[in-house]
Amino acid sequence: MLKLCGKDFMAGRWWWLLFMASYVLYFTFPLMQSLGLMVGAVALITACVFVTLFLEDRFKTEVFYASLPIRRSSIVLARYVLTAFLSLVCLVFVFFYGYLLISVVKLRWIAIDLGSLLSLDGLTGYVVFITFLAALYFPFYFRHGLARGSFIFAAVLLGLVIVLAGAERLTTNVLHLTETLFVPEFLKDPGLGIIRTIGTVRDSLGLPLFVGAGFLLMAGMLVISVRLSVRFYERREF
Amino acid sequence: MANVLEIKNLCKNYGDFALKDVSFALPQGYIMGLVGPNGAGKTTIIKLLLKLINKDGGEVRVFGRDNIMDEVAIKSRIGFVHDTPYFYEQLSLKNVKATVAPFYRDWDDGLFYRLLREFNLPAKKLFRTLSRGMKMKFALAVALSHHADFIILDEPTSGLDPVFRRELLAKLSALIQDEKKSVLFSTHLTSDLERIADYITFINRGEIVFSAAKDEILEKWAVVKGGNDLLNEDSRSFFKGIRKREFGFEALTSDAVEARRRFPKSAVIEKASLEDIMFYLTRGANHA
Repeated sequence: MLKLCGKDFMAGRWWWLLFMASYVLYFTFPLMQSLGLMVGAVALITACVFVTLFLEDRFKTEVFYASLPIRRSSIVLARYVLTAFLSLVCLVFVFFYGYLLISVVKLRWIAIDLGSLLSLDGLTGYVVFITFLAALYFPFYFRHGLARGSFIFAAVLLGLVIVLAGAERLTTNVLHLTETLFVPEFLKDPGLGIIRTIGTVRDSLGLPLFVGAGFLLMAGMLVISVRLSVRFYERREF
Repeated sequence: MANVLEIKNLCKNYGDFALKDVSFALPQGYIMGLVGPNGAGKTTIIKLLLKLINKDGGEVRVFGRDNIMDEVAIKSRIGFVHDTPYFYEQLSLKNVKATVAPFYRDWDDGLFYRLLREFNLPAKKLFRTLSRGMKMKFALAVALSHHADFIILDEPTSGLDPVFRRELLAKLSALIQDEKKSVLFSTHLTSDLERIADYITFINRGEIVFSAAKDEILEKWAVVKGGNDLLNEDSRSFFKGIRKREFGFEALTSDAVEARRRFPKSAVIEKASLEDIMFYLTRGANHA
């Protein structure tokens, strides 16, 4: 599995570096607050993973590596491991760069609360979100290939956003069951708003239950996603 | 003599094309040519061997083991060259090697670089800058660098110049000298097979027409040339394919001895080349 990640590293390393170098220009963006940093990190991971898959698709190397003495299940698992690795690298890179801008370069107009982002609540939000995206994307990718799989993923994601926004409207504005999340304080820095919401959940569940629930949620998503991806990829024909 | 490859009743249905009950065997230490016209099913058989597509029925045994149950163990002893070499084109040959070598326990770096030198391939050159012939040479170097016992080549010589085709064939002949390695070589270029193959398996429209030793085939099959007066219902059914012209006919038979007995002086009987066999069989039996 690690050999497959090494293969992807060899193939995509210059592109990954190029994306990270492009990210350095990020401080010129006007939306320089906590959510911006989180979105930037997710965009960086997405770009690095996507270019790896694109290179494989572009040169049809999938056919070659499927002919090597490797189980299809290993090829699938390697994609998840690579995503985890890139998520970690991008997270470290983004936070280190944010730290440089705030503490060393001392750009005062950058309103990023690194402490909150690096808290248990912030990291939990980041990891669960990345896990959710990977768990949703890869079954479509292994079932339909890069182009069609990405299109279906984007459509499903858009559908989910619409459903969630609708549900939020229904429970707050129509049924008046809960208070809306989108109060001015939340919208001032939605990144911190999300972290505060996660913190509220942690407080109400208690730390052990919060950690256990977070772990179970991620493990559940990953197990279902990996099983589907392996099943789809075993049936894939080249 | 052990078989390195045994295929029994292999089936694969694509709807508009089907591989039907394909069966043949390749003994260890020999080169088998898998020959047939374009679209006959050669690549489908090779993809089934490498488990790149899923079979609908039948059995494939490589080194005496099931190719699905023991996929990894079998593939680690197979070297393959696809009809189009699929590698990361932006990488140098050295770096492409680095993405392949870790998957083979018996990978031999020394042998790899020796083959690159032999094929005049600079290790630092980017894969995308190679010509098609050089790409095929590189694919062959990769296939040979882990001491594979069984080499599978899918149309490796199509589109290549005659010089490299000869070099490649010489390399394959040299490869089996230790009598342990075997080669399955798919092609529609019959001249390549006449040069190096020990066994020929002929496939047409998804069905095996014959699979036998090359010498036996060239001994048994013949082209009969004679006047049209020799063609009657009985002689037509004897031939596998007929080409009728104004002043006479040419026909293919799989029984040269019987042809000599039937037409002792009235027809010219010549040994059939693989190209003759392919031509008459793919043009349809008994067409006139």
